[in-house]
Amino acid sequence: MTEFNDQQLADLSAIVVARLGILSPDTGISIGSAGSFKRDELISHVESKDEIGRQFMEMDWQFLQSLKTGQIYEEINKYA
Amino acid sequence: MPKILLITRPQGDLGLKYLEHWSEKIIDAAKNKGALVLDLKHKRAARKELESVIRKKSPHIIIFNGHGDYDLLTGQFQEPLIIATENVQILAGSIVYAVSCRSAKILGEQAVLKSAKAYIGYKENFIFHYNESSVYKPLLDEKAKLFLEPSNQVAISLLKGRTAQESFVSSQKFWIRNLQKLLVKQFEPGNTALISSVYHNFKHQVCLGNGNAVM
Repeated sequence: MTEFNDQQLADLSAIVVARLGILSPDTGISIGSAGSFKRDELISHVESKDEIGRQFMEMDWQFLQSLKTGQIYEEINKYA
Repeated sequence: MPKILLITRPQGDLGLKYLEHWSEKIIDAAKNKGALVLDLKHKRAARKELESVIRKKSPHIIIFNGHGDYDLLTGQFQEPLIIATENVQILAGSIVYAVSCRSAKILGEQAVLKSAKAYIGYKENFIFHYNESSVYKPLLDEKAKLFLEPSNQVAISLLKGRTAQESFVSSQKFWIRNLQKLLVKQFEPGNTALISSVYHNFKHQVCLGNGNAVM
């Protein structure tokens, strides 16, 4: 897991909550043995920055980094 | 001698229900290819039964649907089926695809060290989205399709006689195809939030062992 300070964590939480908020309200998300969550349940986990919320924030962080560095486009081109 | 595919389909929660239903496509594909399908469904997805069936039938492909962690895969009621330090050697001689969280990281590495031909799985969580309105018809869920179709592609490709590495690459291409679809349509509501989960599964899916292994 990436180490974040409190401010970074708060900022990332706000970004991830905003991104989850644009999913349709009837979206469910299955995260293995952690369980299946309705959109708003997952938003609550991210807002409280608990273990489940942290896992999802880490995933979103990795994706946003791949956009920033262009890695995702390299990966797409590799299989194009 | 027909090729043999063993598949576990435990029940217990919504995630497992989706995997169970989407596995029907794999089972149909296997039967169409003339393969013998050993379906360890619900309470049959138990360690004792699994070990017995593997010993007696030596399946060419084993598909695990279930929860997992870095060093284990589970079945019905989250009973551990395979534990890296206990019984991973029973996978020797088979190609394994684990639709499960994290197991490729330790268990997968151990499996190929103990002579599993190849192990395809995920090093971190396997995540998928679904529509709450589709939970009674998982196979018609277009959101889940974005995740479970690329996953199924591993098994479908293996059943067509492709190698483990070719099947892994085929699945990776399906993930990428869906990523591209979502990136192109990123301004449709919700798509940008879906992309990161698709990318996550793509990124953490791996093929370990002998990439040239075939069914």
